[in-house]
Amino acid sequence: MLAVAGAIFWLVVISLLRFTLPGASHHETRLKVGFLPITCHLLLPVAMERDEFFRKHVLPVKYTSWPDMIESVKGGELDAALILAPIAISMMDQGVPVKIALLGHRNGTGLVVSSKRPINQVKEFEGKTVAIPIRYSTQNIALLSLLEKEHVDMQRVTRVELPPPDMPSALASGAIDAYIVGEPYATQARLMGVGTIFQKISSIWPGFISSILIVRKDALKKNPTQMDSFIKGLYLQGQWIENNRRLAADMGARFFGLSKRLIETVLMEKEVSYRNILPKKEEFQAIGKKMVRYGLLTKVPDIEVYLKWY
Amino acid sequence: MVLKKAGLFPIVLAILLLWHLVTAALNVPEFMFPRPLSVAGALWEMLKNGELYRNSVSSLFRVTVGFYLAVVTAIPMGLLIGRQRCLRTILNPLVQFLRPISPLAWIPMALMWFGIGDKPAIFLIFLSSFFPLVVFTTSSVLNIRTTYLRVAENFGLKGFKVYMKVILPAALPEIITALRITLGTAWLVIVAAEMIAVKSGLGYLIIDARNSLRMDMVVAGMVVIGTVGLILDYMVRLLERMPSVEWSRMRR
Repeated sequence: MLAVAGAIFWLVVISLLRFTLPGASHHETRLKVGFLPITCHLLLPVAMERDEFFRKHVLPVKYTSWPDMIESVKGGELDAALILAPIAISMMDQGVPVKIALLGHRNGTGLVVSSKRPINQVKEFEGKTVAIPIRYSTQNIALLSLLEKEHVDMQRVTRVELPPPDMPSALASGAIDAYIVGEPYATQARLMGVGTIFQKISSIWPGFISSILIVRKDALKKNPTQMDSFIKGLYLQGQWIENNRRLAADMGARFFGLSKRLIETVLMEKEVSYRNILPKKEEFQAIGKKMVRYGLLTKVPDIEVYLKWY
Repeated sequence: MVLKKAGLFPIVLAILLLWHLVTAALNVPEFMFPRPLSVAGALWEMLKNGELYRNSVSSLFRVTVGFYLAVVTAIPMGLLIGRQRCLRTILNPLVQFLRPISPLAWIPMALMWFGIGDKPAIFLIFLSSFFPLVVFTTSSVLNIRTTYLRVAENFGLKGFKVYMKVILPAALPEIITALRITLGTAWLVIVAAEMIAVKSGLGYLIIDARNSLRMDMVVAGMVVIGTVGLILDYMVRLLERMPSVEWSRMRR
């Protein structure tokens, strides 16, 4: 009896402590938007800083890995997410109710090789281990296209999936020979002195798309005006970033918890572009076709449906 | 008790000293394995800014709720399965099948069904404790001496009363041991459960420290987890001293 009373007492105490903690979540009416700390998602921190609407109505949710974010989108935990384009396409294929709204940015992906054990030609990737963010990424597709173009035996290149923040240290430790990733994790290896850029992907795939903004249809239906202001607000930041790269880098660094020097280096090189971020059907179809080609998809879904809004 | 405490302190001190000397002698860089002093610094920092309190409370809350849910469902279920042969035939294979699956394998489903925050973590804790508790309870019921049951029958005890007066007390010592073991696993699982999309808890603390490249904080988090685990174990061990449980030891 005493033990049961003690157990109940403990439950009451710990629940009280838990719910008096600052930030214990209550009913949430803000739009929940998933993101990762990468420059492809910079529109969000800039909007959070500059746009009153975002501060009042948007709740950014930080993720460190793609699979966690995918499950949150599927389960309806998130109303919108900045997510890799091939993941979005495969979600459409699986019938997850999402729509394509915007692109995150263009370019800004690099193939990085170790500075200690350099690779000089594409041929030399045979027998090497290359890290990719996840198989459903345009990074993976770009890598495979590059290997295929140079007639490298793809079976002999080992690809491993790693969370982007772990890639530079994995390269430094020698666990991998190269990696392909979105910024700032390509530049980070350079600043750490452990890697060099073998190839900027924009040189073989101009206007390269990494992440895109998707929104769930139910969230859109529930509050179309809110969603509309959200997407427009995000879109407008693209122009502002183009003209205020240094300030944007500062906002991003603070929001992502990354070094300011790193983000600034990436943005001031002006390879990444926040112009021209409205989604185009042809580009998504092209990505879909490549996914089919590399066995990531059985058939390309009708992209048009996912771009049509009302 | 006093002697035990006096004996513990020098041992802890010796371990810390050894840790410091080894890392210093081998010149291990801080980012590979931090020194005790920097870990102490990180602990102090977390204590001052409230992170330690906030995250410990979140973790303890999740473990408490998940574990309690498992206790109130698994023990009655185990008692029933142990008593009813037909229930045993139906449910035992299912329980035995689900038991060896690590709760972490449920992470994808937990995230989809329960979103982010407390709920998926509580669900994982529940799973980590539920199946072992059912199995332990069932087997402790099966181990009850038939004499007890026969005596109960002779006294005319039936139905619910048999469970409350005979079966539960007879199985209790083994159930308490099971509680101790499962609470240990629940505390193991919470860290992994909090490494997925949550914003608080000791598991999150470690992941967050890792992402901001603070190895001293990672180790400080480990120290906290170990300490809380010890305290939890000590509290459950108090249960073993209850008179209604002690009798089983006297039997030996």
